[in-house]
Amino acid sequence: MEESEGFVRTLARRRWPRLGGYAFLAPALVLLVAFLLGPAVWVFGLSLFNWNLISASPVFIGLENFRVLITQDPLWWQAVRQTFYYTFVSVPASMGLGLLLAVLLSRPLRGRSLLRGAIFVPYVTPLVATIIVWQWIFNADYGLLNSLLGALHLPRPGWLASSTWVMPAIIIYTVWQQTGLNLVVYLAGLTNIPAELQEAARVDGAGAWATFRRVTWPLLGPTTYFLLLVNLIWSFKVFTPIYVFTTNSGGPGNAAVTIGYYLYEEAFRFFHAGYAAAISVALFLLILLLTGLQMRFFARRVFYA
Amino acid sequence: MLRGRWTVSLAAVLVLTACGGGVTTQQATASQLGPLRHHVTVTFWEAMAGGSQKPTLEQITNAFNQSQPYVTVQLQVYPDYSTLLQKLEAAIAAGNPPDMAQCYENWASTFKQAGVLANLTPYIDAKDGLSASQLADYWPTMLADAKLGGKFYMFPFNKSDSVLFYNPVMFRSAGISHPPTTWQEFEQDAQKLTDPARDQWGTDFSLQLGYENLWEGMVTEFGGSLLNQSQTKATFQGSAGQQAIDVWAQMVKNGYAHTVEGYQDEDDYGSGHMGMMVSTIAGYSYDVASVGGRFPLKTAPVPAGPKGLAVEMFGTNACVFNKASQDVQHGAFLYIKYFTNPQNTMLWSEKTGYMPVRQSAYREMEKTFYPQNPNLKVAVAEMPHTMFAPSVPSWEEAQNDLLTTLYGIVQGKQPAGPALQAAAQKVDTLLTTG
Amino acid sequence: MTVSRMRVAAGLGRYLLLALFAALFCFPFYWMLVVSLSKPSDVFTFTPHLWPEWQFRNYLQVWQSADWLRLLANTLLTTGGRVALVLLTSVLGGYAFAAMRFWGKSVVFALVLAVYMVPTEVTLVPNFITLSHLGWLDTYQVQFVPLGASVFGIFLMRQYFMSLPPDLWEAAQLDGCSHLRYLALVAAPLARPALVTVGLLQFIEGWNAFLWPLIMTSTEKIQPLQVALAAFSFVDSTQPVLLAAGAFMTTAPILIVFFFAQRQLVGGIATTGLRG
Repeated sequence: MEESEGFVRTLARRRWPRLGGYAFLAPALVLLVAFLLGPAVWVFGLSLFNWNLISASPVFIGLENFRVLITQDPLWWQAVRQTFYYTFVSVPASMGLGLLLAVLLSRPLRGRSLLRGAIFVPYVTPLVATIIVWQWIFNADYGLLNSLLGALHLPRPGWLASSTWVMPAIIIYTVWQQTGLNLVVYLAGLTNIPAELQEAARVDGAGAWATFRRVTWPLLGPTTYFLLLVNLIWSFKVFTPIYVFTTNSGGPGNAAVTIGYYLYEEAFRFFHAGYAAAISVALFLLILLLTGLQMRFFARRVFYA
Repeated sequence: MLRGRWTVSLAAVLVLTACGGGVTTQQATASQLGPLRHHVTVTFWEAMAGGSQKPTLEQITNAFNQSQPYVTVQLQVYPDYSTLLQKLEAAIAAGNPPDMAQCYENWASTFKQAGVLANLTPYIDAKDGLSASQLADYWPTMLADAKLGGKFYMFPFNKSDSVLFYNPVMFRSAGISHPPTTWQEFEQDAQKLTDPARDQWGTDFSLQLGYENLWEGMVTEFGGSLLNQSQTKATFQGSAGQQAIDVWAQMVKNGYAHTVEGYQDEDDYGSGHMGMMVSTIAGYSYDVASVGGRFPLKTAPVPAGPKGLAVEMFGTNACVFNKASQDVQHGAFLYIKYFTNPQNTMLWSEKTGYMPVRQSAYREMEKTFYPQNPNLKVAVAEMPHTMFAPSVPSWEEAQNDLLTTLYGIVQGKQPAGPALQAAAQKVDTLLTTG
Repeated sequence: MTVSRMRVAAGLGRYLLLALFAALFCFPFYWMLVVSLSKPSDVFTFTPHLWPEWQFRNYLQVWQSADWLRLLANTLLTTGGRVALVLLTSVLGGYAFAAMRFWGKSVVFALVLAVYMVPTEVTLVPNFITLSHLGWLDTYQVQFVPLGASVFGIFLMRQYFMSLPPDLWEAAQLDGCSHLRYLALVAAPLARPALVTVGLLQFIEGWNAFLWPLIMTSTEKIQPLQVALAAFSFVDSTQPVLLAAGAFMTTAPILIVFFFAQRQLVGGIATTGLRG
């Protein structure tokens, strides 16, 4: 009797502090499970149904959506190709430019924070507003860019009205918009490199380029890796620039349709919930692969710091 | 002047109404709805977002709200039809549609298939509905278009078609004496208007969704059709469809036509860089604004093909959703009736360029308005030559594919034959899977 | 002598290059202003003029064309709600992970890590279905409640709380302080820099939010500025002057926030790489 009472008391004493953490975590957990984790699991289930949200109830069709996606949907593959085009041009360009500017800004300089701010500000301003002005800059007839090209006797591309040039235009915008992020993160990475290491290399007679290649670049490895993943994930999901630049059309001849835009179109223009879920799953797997890589790195850098 | 004369004819209409109403009452069974006597609020989703469309719709709606004690209509405007459709479908999917909306024919088919549309017949027949003679005053083509399976699931609201807008100053300096009446002349005139040294060119091919309508009309003009009679198979891939789009491909290739995004054709025309464009009369107030008095804006009928003239009628009908209570549906129809009464459809037409949906209004406008505004008469005069886009539910998606295909052809990326063939296959699949 | 002169030349070159890039990156903002202040007809020429014409009436016209105050209020309300909710869930959650011992902690920790891997875009379709059944579409709460927890926020706060000296908690415990009182009175105030970072990042994300409100809302009464601005750009695509004025009006507040909080923002973003 006494023994069991003591046991109960221990249990009670133990249990309270042992579960109290959940009271603190509950608000976050409820939201994360209800609106992120739950839907992320459910989307796999949804992808097995044919479900037009407007007119029909869901019908189970197994992997049919994926079969159609892979074998019968040229627009999906066009979206994949165009997403890769967008990603693998804009990411290296904005990272390269960000690194160059970070190196130039890494040594003390008058007005340094002003210069940094000037390059960084496109990254924090609303996409829709800045796209509106870029749309006008890219206008084939009255835009500033083509006036400039015309004055230099260069060809004047159709930009947003041309299936060949619409993606390059959006890429130029993206580089303008994203370089600030890369600059700032690289700058933080550079300040973490001990100045003595670079000095030592210089004393050994290495030139600026050699110092960069042999000392700075390798030491920036983790930063580059981190940025690469952040940029890649952002690019794979890109939606807003496509939507606004092409006024919700996907561009001439669908030439600006990306995976993110195609997902939106199938889900919220045609309301093919099942098919859109299948596209979501494909996008998810792609990003999961990248985020998994990012986690291995990030866990070390931030979470267990 | 106009107003004074109008009062007389309005009185005549009122007398007619009274008699007509009486006749209907006698014919009607006990199930005829009495006049609406409860207060209701009606939400109306629409896409009359710019130009003079927005203020005029607001003006008429406010007047309606103040004219009677029972119905209050609340407008919710969307930037374009595409967005309106997306939001409507989202709301329907969520089981929470508005009370009424502007609807294209194929949207209404989709909504009817989903079982969310209200049949308007009881409200047309109601004591405060439309008399037989009033109903007969609407253009018969428009009424026919508003029916699905023989029943009024829509009602004519804002209707338009395309006309040719041209710049008479540029025409004169290019030595062109009259606007083109055939596509052959159109092509020749586009060439004459093109002068790269002066930053001038003939016409534009826009990638705006809706521009495929132009080609859809041309298919008929060249002797073809879009779908077969039962709307189950594509027929546009035939030689008529190919010839029609080749007209444009040729002009783009030669630099007489520019391909542009969105509504840039209006800017190109208004700023005096581009000489002529085929565009909807509903854009009239926008075009007047973009011309800004730089030259006298002129319209003419759309050029004809080997088989004569054909233009697609667009603009929307109004439809009512059956989730709303009977009183709300009733109130929505009273608003439609008010908006399309002779006086208001005339006001709407004069301000925006849309066609008056009632013949009596047209006759009235012939007296003084059209003589003073011949540009707007062109659209109505084309009415005998109008056709409608297919009303099948999947047409919205099909149009999307068609525009992409047409763009590919116009850009010279692929020849018309195989490209249209491929599009036809896709459309066939859409038609069968719905 | 020559070495130092070379250094000066190199320094000047570096300076010029940076200034050139800074000007290039800022130019679109200048251009936004120029176009927004032009005479509407003057922008349709093949040779653009590069200076503003001070047509302030463009702003008046844009101001009258929509209920901007309402849109601004919508944006502030939903952004504010989001900031407040994320701060609350992050502080509580971060503290639980950092300072409390409870059963199953490592499992929950792994769970939250797993959530980190889920991009919002992937959850749009299921969320749309759930939220429509809840009747939350086109409401204020749909614009911030579902986004009210941030894995980043939780981990950032956790990291900060872990860096607090343990003696603090021991001393507080001796005074009879509960976890909640300790957190509210001691730990959270000490974590102000981290709170500012999380709050600022959420503010920017909230202000710039687009895809989520685009899908989940449908009427102007509820919608934020960015969604309305995009709609505006679709309607008035033929009036670049008015569009530029609208764009500038909605950009200016962010430019002001940026001006005053550049250091915290840059610092915060440099360490976390703002998602979005």
